[in-house]
Amino acid sequence: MNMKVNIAGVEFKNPIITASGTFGFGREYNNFYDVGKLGGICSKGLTLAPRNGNDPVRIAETPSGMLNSVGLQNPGVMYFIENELPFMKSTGAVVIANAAGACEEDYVKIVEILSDTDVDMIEMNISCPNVKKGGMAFGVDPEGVRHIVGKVRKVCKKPLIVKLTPNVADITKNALAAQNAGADAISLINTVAAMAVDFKARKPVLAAVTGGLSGPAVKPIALRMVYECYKAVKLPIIGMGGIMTGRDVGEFMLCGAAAVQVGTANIFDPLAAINILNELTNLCESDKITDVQSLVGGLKVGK
Amino acid sequence: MKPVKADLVISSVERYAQNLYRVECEAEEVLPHIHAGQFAHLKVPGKDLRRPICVYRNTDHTITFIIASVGEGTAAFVNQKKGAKFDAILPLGNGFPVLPDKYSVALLGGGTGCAPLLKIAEDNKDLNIKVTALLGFPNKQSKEVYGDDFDKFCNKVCYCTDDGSLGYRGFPTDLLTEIAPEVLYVCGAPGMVKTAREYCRRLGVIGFASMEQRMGCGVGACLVCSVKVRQNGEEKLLRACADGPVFPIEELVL
Repeated sequence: MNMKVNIAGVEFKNPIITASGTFGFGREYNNFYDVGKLGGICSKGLTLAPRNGNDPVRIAETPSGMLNSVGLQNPGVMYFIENELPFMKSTGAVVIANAAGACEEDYVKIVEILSDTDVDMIEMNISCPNVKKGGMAFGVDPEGVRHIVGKVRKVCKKPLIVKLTPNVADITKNALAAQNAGADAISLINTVAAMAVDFKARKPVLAAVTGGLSGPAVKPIALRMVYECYKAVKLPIIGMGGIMTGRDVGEFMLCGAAAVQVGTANIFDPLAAINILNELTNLCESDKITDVQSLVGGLKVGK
Repeated sequence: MKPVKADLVISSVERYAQNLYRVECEAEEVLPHIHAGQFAHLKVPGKDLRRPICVYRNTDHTITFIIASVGEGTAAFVNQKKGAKFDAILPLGNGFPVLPDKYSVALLGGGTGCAPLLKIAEDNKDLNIKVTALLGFPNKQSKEVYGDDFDKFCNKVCYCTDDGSLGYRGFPTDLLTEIAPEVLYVCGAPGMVKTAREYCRRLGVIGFASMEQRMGCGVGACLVCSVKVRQNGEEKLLRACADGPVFPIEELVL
């Protein structure tokens, strides 16, 4: 059985990638299983300078999901290159660096820096709902997407993935903007802007008041958006949003995802990503699927 | 010790006081070594996020948790019956360090905050350390969740209750001036930790406190369980799960 997938010329041994912000740089989970067995690992969102992130409370449990408001806490791109990237490369999984910024210059600079390293791909994060400046601000308006992706494309020497926010009227417009500006792939969805309230305390649960919703609660939204984008753009799509099982992966691939990212499931269970990979392999076996890529876009719509 | 996912079976759930439970569990596989102050990330029925609970006592095949039912997750956990199976990621976090050449230590705990402290005395009973415990509860009934465990392993135990139904009437921090330990281990409400830190500063006592925060992955990856500390004059947000839950009391920003 062939579990390999290819995205923008990069070969993944299977379609399971861990999502940014839920997997650190892979070290913690490598205590539980060989993370090199996964298709890819996406780094925590990186910025030029180290960031402390938002004040706690940063997490809230919600029905079938959770909110987070970490706010891009990270040790900075130079620390990443020196101290985390060698480990990530040593695992054997495809290494994706997730890059964010507060302004246009930041995005250009960080992508320039990452282009001269041995990361395999760069995922441009223009969809973080938890920072005041930058993040999602660049990703909401299609013209903004076209502009920032175009600027970054000029300096980016790696395959460029643009991570899209679901907090828009029509995600296909943003996907098209990314495609027209030269993106090599798109990933979606980032978290859904949301909030939780502690009635008794008359307060929001999160110190930052609002956060990003993830987990099974957003899966139907994510499936719909992957399906819409698959019809609208030619770029390979990395689908994510509440994937908890191998069957969920299959559903995303049918809707058009060439690969998937597993995020919140890692927080619920440290063995989630490897379990999901094993489930997907078993599912292919039991459904007599010889090439996992045959699932991509295989959704039968209508009679 | 690397953490593992351990399969556990509940052997008893006993309720004490209003919302305090003592949950005894068994493990078929040998449990890894667990240090005082380390915690387990428990799977709770009907909940996606795990709940971090300190390990109160354990042997190779048994583990005990002291749990206050304070929300949906803890309530769902203590409502399980004997024979219920669940899994736990353990041991997690950095526990209380036992310092060489320090032979007089004190434990300062409040309510369920007493739970992570017992193992300091129990696990080091051969080291000739003199352990004094100052433990606070709302009333005598709440203390009963611990039975006479502290009396067994500590040299001196002072129970304090809000209503005077057992021991000293008042806060255990009131009694700090009566003792002079070299090291103070603390787990309790923010007010208790604050008072303990002032005491440590005034008398030059080395202090460690176990901190609580809403937690996600429990293993150090998701960065949600932040605890604010000051190191070398710089404020930082560290992870309760992987950098803590025990921190030098002097570094905490309270």
